[in-house]
Amino acid sequence: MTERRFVYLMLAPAALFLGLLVAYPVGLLVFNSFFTVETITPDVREWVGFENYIDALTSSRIADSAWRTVKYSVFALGFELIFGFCAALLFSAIAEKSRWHRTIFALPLMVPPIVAGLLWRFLLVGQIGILNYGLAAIGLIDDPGDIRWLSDADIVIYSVAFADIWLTTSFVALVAYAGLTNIPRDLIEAARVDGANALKRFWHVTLPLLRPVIAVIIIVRGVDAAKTFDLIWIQTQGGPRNQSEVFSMNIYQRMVRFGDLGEASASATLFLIVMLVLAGIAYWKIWRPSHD
Amino acid sequence: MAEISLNNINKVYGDDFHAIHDLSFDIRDGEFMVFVGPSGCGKSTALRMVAGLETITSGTLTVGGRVVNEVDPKDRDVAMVFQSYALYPHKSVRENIAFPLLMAKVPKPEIDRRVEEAAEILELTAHLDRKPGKLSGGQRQRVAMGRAIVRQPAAFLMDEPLSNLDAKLRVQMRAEIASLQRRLGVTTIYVTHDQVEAMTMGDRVAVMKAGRLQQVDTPQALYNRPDNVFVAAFIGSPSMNLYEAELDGRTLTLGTNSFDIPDAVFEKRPSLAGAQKRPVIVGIRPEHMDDADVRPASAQIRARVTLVEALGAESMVHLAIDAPWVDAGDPDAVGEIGDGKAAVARFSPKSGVAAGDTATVAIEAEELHFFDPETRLSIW
Amino acid sequence: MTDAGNRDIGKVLINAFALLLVLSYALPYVYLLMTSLKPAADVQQIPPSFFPDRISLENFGEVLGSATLPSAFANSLITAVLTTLLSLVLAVPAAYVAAQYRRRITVLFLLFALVTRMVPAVSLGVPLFQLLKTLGLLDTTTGLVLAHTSTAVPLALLLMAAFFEGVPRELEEAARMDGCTRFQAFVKVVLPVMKSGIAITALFSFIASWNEFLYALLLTSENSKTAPIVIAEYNSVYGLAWGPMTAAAVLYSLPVIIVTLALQKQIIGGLTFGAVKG
Repeated sequence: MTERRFVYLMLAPAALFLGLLVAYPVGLLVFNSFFTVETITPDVREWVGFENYIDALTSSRIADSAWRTVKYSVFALGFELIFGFCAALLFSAIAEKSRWHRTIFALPLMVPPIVAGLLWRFLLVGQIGILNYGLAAIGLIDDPGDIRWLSDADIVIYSVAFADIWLTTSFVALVAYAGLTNIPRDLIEAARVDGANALKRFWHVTLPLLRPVIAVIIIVRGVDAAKTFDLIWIQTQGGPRNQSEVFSMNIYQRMVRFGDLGEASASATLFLIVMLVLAGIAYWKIWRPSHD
Repeated sequence: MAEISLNNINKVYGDDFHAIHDLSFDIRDGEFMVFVGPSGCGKSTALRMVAGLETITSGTLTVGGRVVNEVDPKDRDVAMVFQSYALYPHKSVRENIAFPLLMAKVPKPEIDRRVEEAAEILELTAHLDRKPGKLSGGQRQRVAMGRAIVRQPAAFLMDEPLSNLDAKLRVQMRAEIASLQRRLGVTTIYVTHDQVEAMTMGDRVAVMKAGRLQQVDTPQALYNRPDNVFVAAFIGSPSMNLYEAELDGRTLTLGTNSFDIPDAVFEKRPSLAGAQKRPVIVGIRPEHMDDADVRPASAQIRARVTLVEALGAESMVHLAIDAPWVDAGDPDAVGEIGDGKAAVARFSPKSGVAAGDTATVAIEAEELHFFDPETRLSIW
Repeated sequence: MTDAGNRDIGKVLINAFALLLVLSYALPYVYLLMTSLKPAADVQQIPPSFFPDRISLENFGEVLGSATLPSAFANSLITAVLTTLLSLVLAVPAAYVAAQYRRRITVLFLLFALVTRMVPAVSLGVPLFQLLKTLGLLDTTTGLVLAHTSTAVPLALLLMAAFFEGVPRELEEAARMDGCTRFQAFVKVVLPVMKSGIAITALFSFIASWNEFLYALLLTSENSKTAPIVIAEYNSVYGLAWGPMTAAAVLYSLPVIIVTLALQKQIIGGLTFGAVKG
């Protein structure tokens, strides 16, 4: 058998599958977005051109949910990066003794998102949320009822991100730790011999070498955060007053609750395009330079 | 057992990278043929085409009279030893050696017998039930050999099989492989970049450079009668010293030195006779130079000594020769000392020359090599 | 006291501090465990207490005795196992050629897999719903397995491709010289060498399916509901039944956590593999 035929045969099953269950649905998605079509009767359709897109781009609810997605992602990703890198630096400072630390730290990694969402809802929710009692006990707030994490419309989009931060700081920490241990000791020592202090060593040696790792974290986690659905859904279902409704939830609501497949498809297509563009930019801007 | 013949074999990668140009020669039944050349010369590609691991762009390849261009590696009846050995890490030594027989559906008792036999030959009997990961480099090498010999194939193909061993073990395995091959009498192609391996192991040696065959011959013939500048410099260690010179009548002018060429040279190379101010490339092997005070010869020159490396049995004396130095085109050659353009002479240890001296150097002018500066071919 | 002694004490303190920090990170999950062990009536007491006053398996009894949760666990398990098997069968051969045979098509293929990972589930969920409806596979385990596999295959592909990159090409070549076809070389020689990589990939595919929520919410309703959907439903169906909900959440998450802890070294390796190779 020629090499060419072997390669094609080995690729074929996966390619066919992905073609049927990824490429075809994506095509269908784009196709649907040009029609007025109901979720329950997808066979009845009326061509409307770009109308769904115009509606989506002018709808204030969609714009709000998009803006909320950005706030949520930046907030979650920012804290994950800060906490994760601090933890990784701490682990590498205590080096081989950090095995147990890392084991415990890895725990949330495998907690199903739905459980993490539930758990944090339970920690934050109204009267019985234990977090506020803890904060009151150490004197940060006067009364456990002072902060209404999940029912205050102004802060809810940040409150729901706690679960995300708790869940995935582990990932950032472990990836960053692996990246740190991959840096040759010689380089750090050379910088030390050259007279750089700890801060300068971190800034001029460690950080640039971690660039590809940071890029991967930002791409992978940023995309995940922007896609978040289950974690927020289980905590608030988008409430109160839609103030925690992120973009993916908005799409879901319009398809399932309002049954508007066409408009949902237009939004989903826009979502897909934005994600690919962002990932592409992140890839070219952050990752590529270190490869040249 | 079989003879292998390559007829106008070409290998082109993609649209423009022509890796092998019109390679043609025959390997006789039972012969030990070595492909040698600097890195990137195409020797491994040529071997892999014989193995069937690379497709042949054009030309015909026959093994035992059968055209095998389109035949799968498994059906070519050739065995291969890889540079990295490529042992199966999850299989024991026994299973590794038995694997080709298993694939050939040889009956179980016969497999056991032949594996034991191969293990005996290679002194692996005590290690048969270990995993390759637990073996030393030399033992792994033997397992790779075992996997090849157990099949009794028509030919062995070996791709730099010794390059992962340390120097001492390499010398020992070199002799073992050569004697094993003679004992089994199986046609063998052996690829190496090391001209010492090539010279000591091969019945014949094919020297390659940049995808082209330079010369195929016995090791001694390559040494005595290199076809061109590249082969002349590649075979022999240290390399032949090559300089631009001028021949007028029987007088050779090498920089500021001149001496007469003896008749023996003109008998061997008749087309040199009657030269009039003819530019030539002259080649002098290090072993054909010595201290004129210790061992006088038919010609002598004066040259400044830049470095003396005393090795005990001999001294490598680096000489500054004031004639233009000739690059033989070996990409792996590095300037060993200084600019690498110094001539190297193999002096007797009795010589007392030291760096900085100007020495009188005796040259066995009968042994000089002459090449055409245009074609870079030997002048015969 | 000597300088070195001081430094040792400093090190011990740093270690202890770090451990404390890390332990507090695990606190929320510990609280979940504690709550699930409280009697149902104590779960929603005001003010809440961290540790149970009395240990009771009441909540566990309720969820395991209900009709829905045990069958939802069975559905989750079947879906995850089938997803894992299907993903491996599809992804492993493709990942092998993608990693070992550098050709334009294999590079494109890996890029496609990478892009697929960026596709928001909800974008794909909408048309998948329609596709499965057409095929009559809505609310079936088969349908959900197909949906889960569509996300698990790209994941498995990228992971396995990274593992296969570590396999020398000569292994396949040696096997071919020893009498194998390319496919035999792959099955008889390369796959056995890759056992641990395949195990890790299988675990990741399993977890991806086991934890998945959105497709399950969209594509199932009665017959093939998985555990996370049923757990989420404790919200609405039973009002705010925190007691059973925490018990169900523990039952749902603990097996995965235990397996993870047991295999943590390999898993963390797999998780950070692609990222660090960069």
